[in-house]
Amino acid sequence: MNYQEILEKLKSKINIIEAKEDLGILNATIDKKSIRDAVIYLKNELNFDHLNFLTAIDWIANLQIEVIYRFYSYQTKDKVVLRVKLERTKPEIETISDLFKTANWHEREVYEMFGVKFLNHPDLRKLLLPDGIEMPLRKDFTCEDFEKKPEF
Amino acid sequence: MADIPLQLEKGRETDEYILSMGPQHPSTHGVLRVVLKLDGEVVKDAIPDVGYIHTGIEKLLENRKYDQIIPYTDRTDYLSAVNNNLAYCLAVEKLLGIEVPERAKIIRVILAELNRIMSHLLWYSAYGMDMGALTPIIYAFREREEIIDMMEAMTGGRLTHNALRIGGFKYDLPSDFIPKLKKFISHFNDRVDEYEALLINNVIFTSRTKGIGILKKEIGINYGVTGPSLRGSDVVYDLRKIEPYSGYEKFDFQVCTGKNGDTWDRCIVRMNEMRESLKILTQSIDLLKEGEIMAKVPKIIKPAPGEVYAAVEGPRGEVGVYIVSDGSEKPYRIKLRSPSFSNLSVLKEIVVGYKIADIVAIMGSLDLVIPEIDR
Amino acid sequence: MGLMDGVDPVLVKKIPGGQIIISSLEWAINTARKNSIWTVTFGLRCCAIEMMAIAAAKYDWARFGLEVPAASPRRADMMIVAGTVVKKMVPVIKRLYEQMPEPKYVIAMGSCAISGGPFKYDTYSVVKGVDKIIPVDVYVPGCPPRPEALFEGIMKLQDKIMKQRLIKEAK
Repeated sequence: MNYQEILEKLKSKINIIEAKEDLGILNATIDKKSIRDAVIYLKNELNFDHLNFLTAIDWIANLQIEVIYRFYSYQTKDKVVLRVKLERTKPEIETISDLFKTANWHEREVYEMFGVKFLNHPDLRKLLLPDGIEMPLRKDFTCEDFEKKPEF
Repeated sequence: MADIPLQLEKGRETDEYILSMGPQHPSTHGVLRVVLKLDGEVVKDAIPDVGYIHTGIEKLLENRKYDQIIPYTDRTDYLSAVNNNLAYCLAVEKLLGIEVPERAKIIRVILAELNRIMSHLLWYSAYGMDMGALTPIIYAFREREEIIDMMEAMTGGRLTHNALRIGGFKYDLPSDFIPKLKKFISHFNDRVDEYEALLINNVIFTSRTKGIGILKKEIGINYGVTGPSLRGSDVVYDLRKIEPYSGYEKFDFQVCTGKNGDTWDRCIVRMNEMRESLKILTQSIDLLKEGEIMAKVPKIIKPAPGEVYAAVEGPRGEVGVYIVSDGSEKPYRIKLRSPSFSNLSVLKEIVVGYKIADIVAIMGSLDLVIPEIDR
Repeated sequence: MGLMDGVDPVLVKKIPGGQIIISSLEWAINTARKNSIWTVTFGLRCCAIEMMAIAAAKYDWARFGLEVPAASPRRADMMIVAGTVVKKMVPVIKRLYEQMPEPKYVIAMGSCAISGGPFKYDTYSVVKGVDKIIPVDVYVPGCPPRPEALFEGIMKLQDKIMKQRLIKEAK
C-alpha cells in the first residue's frame, strides 16, 4: 500500500489533525487521546508488527514536546510514522507497552530524558541516568560541570 | 526439567536469594549488571541494570557540525564501526539529496562486509572464553589481524576506522588492497570450517547450548529483536535484502536462518553469515570498476529543515539514525537506534527456569555490546 | 638503605647444578615483582578490544610476564583502566581499588581515562579523567592506543617498580 491508502484507512477510524508525506512515508499527527486506538488498529488490522523506535523532540520555541512512533510491517513492508504533540509544562500520554513490549524500555528512556509521564506503565523509573541529573535532553538544561566546546 | 525437591527435611524451608552479577565480571562483555533472583541454582527472575557507561552522546551531538559527527558514530559500537558510519552517512545524504557514485558504493560494501567478518570473529573468541575454551581466541585473532592490516592501509585506524565521508571517500583504495583481499579470500573458507569443527561441533559445547534459551518467533518480534538473534528463530528479516542500500541489490547471497530458536541455532547463523560475507567479497572484486569516488557536496553542509531515518543491517541487527534538522549547521536532534537495546530487553523471557551456568551461555549468544545500549 | 643502591648482581661461583650470585635484596624482590604482574580485567569501552588483541598471539604480553588475567581484584596487582569513566561507575571503581592488596599499580589507557577524551565537552555524566578518583602511575595516550604503545607503558611501569625501596629512609 502506498501512503495514500494507509491515510484513507486510518482516517476512517481516528481523527487525524495533520498528515504530510516525507520521502514517501506518511507522517500523521494525531491527538493524544486517540493514540491507543490508533496503535491497536495498526497492529491488528494493518499488520504493523515492528516498532522501530519511540523518541521525543523538544520544540522549545513553540513550548511543545513531540513524541514520535515509527512502525514497520514484516508482511507488507509498509512504514508509517505517528506524531503526538504535548504541552511542555505537563506532558502526559498513555503507554503502549502492553501492545509492543519493546516500548517498555524506550518509554523509560523518554521519561527520564524529557520528563514525559506515561500513564499505566508497569515500571516507570530511571534506566540510564545517575542520581542528581534531571531531564538532560531538554534545551534549557544546565548542570555544574557542563562545559561547552570552545569555538575557534 | 526434572523436579528437584528443594525441601530437604520436614519443617525446613528454602528462601529465594538475590545475587548481583556485577558491573565488573569477565563474562558480561562490558559494564552490565544483572540482578538475579535465585532459588537454589534455578533462576526465577533476571533484571538488567544499565547506565554504567552512559556518556550522553545525544546531547553532545547537538553541538557538533555534520561532518564532525562521523568519529562519534564509530565509538558507540566499536566492533562494527563502518556499519555505523554508513547508517549516518546514508541519513545525511538522503536529507541533502546527493547520489553517491558507483565505485564508492562498491567500496563501501567491501569495507562493511570485512567489518562484519571481524565482528563475528570477535564474538567467536569471546564466546569461547566465556565457556572456558581458551584456544579459539588465539586462532580467531590471527585472522582478525590480517583483516586489520587491510583496513588500516585504507582507513588509517585499527579499531575506530572513521572510514566514510558524506558523499563518498576522500582517498581511493591503496594499490595492494585487492591482491591482499584475494589472498585472504583464498584461505578463509577452510578456516571457517576449521573453527566450526573446533568449537561449535564440540560435544561439550553442544550439550551446553542445544535446547537452552529458546526464543519464540512472536516474542522476538514483539520485543523488537533484530539481527542473527531473531534469524535463529526462523524469521527471514535482513535489511540488505528487503530494503537494499548502497548497491546491495547487485549481489547474490542468501539469508541464513535457524530452525528452533535455541542458543546453538544462533551460533550456526553467525558462522554461516561469515561464509555469505565471503561470497559477497568475491563478487565485489569483479564489480569494481574505475570511476569517481566523491560526489559533489557543498563545502558547508546545511540541509533544509526536515527529518530522516536511515537503517542498515549491522552484525547485531538494525542500526538506525534519526536526524531532525532545522536548517543550521548543527542538527537539532539526533537519535541513534541501536540493536543491543532491544536485544537485551528480551533477557527475562529466555533465561527464567534455567540454571546459573546457562545464563552466561544465553547472554553470550545474544552478542551484546554495552556502550551501544547506554550511548 | 642506600648502601647497595643500584648494584648489579655479581657472579661469585659456578657450581655444578647452579650458580651463586650476590646482590641486594631490593634488586631480587623488585625483579621478581616486575616480571609477574597479574592484572584485573577492567575493560570498559573500545580500549578493551586492544587489550584483548595484546593478549592474543601477534602481540603477546605473556613474554613480559603478564600471563594471568586474574578476574578477582583480591589477588591482582595491577589495574588497567581502559575506557570512559562515568559518574554512575565511580563507587564501583573505588571499591575495586580498595580491594586490591598492596603494592598496587594503575595504568590509565586511552584518552578517555586520561582526561575525558572526545567526551570532555558538552556532557553531563563523564568524569574528566580517572585520576580524579584513584592515583595513577602511568598514562598511555591514544584513541585507542596501539598495542606497541601499551607495551611501552608496561615497560615504563617496570622501570618504576625497579626503583622501589623496601625500607623508607628515616626523617
